[in-house]
Amino acid sequence: MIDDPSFQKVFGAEACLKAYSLNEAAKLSPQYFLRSTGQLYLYQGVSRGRKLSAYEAFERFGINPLLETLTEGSSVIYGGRGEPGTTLKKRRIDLDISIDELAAYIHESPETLQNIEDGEGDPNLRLAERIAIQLGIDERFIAVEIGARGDAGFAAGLKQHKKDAETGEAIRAKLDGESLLSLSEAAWIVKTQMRLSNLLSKDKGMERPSFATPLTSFYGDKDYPAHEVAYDLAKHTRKQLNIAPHEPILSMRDLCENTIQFPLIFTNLEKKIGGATIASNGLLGVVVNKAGENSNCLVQRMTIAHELCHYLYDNSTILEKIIIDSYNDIEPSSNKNILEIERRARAFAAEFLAPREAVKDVFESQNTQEEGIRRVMDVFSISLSAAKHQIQFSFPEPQRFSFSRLGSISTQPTQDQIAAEIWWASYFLNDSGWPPCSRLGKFCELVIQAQNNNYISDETARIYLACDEDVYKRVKAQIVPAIGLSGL
Amino acid sequence: MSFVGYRIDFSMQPRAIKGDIEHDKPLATGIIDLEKPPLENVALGTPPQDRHKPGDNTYIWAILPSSIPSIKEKCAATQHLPDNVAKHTNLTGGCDAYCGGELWFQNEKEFIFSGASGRYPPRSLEELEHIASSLRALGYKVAHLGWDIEADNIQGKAKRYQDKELICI
Repeated sequence: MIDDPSFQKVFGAEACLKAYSLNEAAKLSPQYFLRSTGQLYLYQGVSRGRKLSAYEAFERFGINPLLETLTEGSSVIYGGRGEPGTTLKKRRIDLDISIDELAAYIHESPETLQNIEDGEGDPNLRLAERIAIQLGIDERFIAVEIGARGDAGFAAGLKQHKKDAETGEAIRAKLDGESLLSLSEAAWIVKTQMRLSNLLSKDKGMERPSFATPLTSFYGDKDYPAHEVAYDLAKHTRKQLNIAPHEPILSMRDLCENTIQFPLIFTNLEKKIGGATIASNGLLGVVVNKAGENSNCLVQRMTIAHELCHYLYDNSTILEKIIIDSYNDIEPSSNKNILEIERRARAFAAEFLAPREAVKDVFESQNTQEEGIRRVMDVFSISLSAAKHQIQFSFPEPQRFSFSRLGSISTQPTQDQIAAEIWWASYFLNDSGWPPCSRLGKFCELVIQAQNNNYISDETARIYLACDEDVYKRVKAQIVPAIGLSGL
Repeated sequence: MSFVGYRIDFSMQPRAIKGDIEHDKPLATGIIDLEKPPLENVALGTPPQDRHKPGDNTYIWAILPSSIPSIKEKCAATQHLPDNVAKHTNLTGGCDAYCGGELWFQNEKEFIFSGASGRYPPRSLEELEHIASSLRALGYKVAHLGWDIEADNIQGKAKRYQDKELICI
């Protein structure tokens, strides 16, 4: 119980009676605060200020500014002259994004962004937060801390990748401005999702499951080639996840989001890019391109499995630089002009989704090669090229195996396969003003749960899901029954 | 004479926040009256820049029916008060006042002020501007910290930090 009258005034007497720490009192508090670019206030009804829950205000600013709002009417939280423009401009330049590219992406005029960067005109915290999110920095500390806890390493990694791809110094997928902005936004989602997930895991009294997988920096040699290393890693991973050797994986999305529990973000990238594994402020996540070949969910599963290998086994590399994969890196093919790290992930993905022994049994149970291939595609939900590759390599001498002249085989997934992976197609209507795909999925669930648990205000939830009040209500109406929340 | 118009246009307000009882007692020493220039022996100060750089040599002020008392927030006369700091109610005795705030002298005729008072806050930017004009009419050169247009209610709130260079006029 917290009996200090000042704290009771800040968080409410009832919350303080039930709490054993200020953190707990903040969480239980029905109180709200308001912030502007530079000051914090107690919420007293209708307002145009940016609404924060007591927990958000406490987490961001500590107890003293909250107490000061009571005694002085407001508290200064402003971080320094020139903010937030200085931080936003530096970050944009670090990411090598022009003001025109950023303006077009967020549907604002270049003049508006220029004014924010130069500190001209009226301050606009909500727009500053929106830009911060797009640039992958922590919107909670915009105008409060210089730099707003942006990860300089992430920006440098993206910039380096772009340069490598342009100069051809490394085999890299090219990045356009929109892809850069999608990836930097993904970095923000990774950080925010992990933060909310950690908060909510504590609520449930459970920690995120730990997967004791042997991290290896071995990419094969002539005695133990890369694909053999990948096969062993895939076998090990299935075992760690309690997936039987012949068992198909029904939903990669579900496996990643709910079992392994890492951020899996679907967004629009340059159409040759399949996916990326990124690290921001030491936290890892996977980005999957919605565009291009991933629009076929069988290819998308290969992409996710490929990125899973990077996520689990290449994390020391990812912490130093971002990994962005073109479809050429992902789909099985005879192309050997790829990096070692990609060769291993490519073999891992195929073996993880469709272990060769299981594939061989399924293939041989059918009467014709066409039927066998299609059956392998159906059972393991893999693409045609992956199925053919795994069938071929399930035989002792793959080089001597050949397919007969094959008839036409559909490359399209079944409706069940689509429902298991491309969940947003059926789960959400494609309304205008609906949250973008990057903010849906597990992220959306966590945001709604966090708001339900008073960790964030309803306004913060709307900002996180990039939607207005009306849409947010409709999103909640769909999500709440699906995730079994009550009391909303 | 210069505050006559202001006192007609704006009403007195009760204190918005009730604090420690010691802060309701008027102070006997250390007070200067801004309405009676010239001032002497003021401590020169700087307004707060941001949360890391609080103001230096801050004075508080309040507009009463016939005077504008001001006192250095922390001085010999405030030693006995909680946290050794004077509040606006130490200038008003806890009674109603028109408005209150803080100020920082650049010299004896020039100062930057704000409407930062939890007890008697200015109710609009217009009120703050009116006070500035009235002070100029008394012969001071002044500038104020401005208005937080993103804040609280429809009227907003006075700013308590300086994010741009200010020139007293």
